[in-house]
Amino acid sequence: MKDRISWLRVPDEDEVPAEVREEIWEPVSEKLGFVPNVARIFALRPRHLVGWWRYYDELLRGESGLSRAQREMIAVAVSAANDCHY
Amino acid sequence: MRLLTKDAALADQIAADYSKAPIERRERAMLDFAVKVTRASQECTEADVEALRAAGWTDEDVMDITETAAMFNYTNRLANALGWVPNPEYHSLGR
Repeated sequence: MKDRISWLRVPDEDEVPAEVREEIWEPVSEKLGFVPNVARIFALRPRHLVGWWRYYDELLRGESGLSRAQREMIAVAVSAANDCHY
Repeated sequence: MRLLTKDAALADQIAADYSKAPIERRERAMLDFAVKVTRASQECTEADVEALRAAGWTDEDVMDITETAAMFNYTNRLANALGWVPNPEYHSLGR
């Protein structure tokens, strides 16, 4: 049995809409070599995933007075404060 | 951050205690605010914004700092509340 990655049901690949696979799963797995679990888990609510993904990408990688490394520093400090290991 | 800076040690140091990490003064001000937004957003005051401006951040930058802190509070809450487990690959990335 595969290890659980969420307490909720994780959608099967064939029930995930093409929009999610084409806009998120395919480009990210080309870059990283795998589909991050968050992109599988969040696909339970596909339109929420797409909306979140676009905002996340713009916020973390779009034009900003903060460098990408500085934005990642915030991610690390906030996640540590929340005791979140994802 | 490991991917971007290739600096796993710095990321670990920020996670453990950013006040001792070798970062710029304005980055420390940025993280002070991000952690306050995380732990006690209701206690944030205009003086906190002034401190960020004094450290050299523009209002647009302050917006980005706050949005980024809020974004990770959002994802951290989803992950903590629903038992999300990261891919094992993450632990080796950038190491």
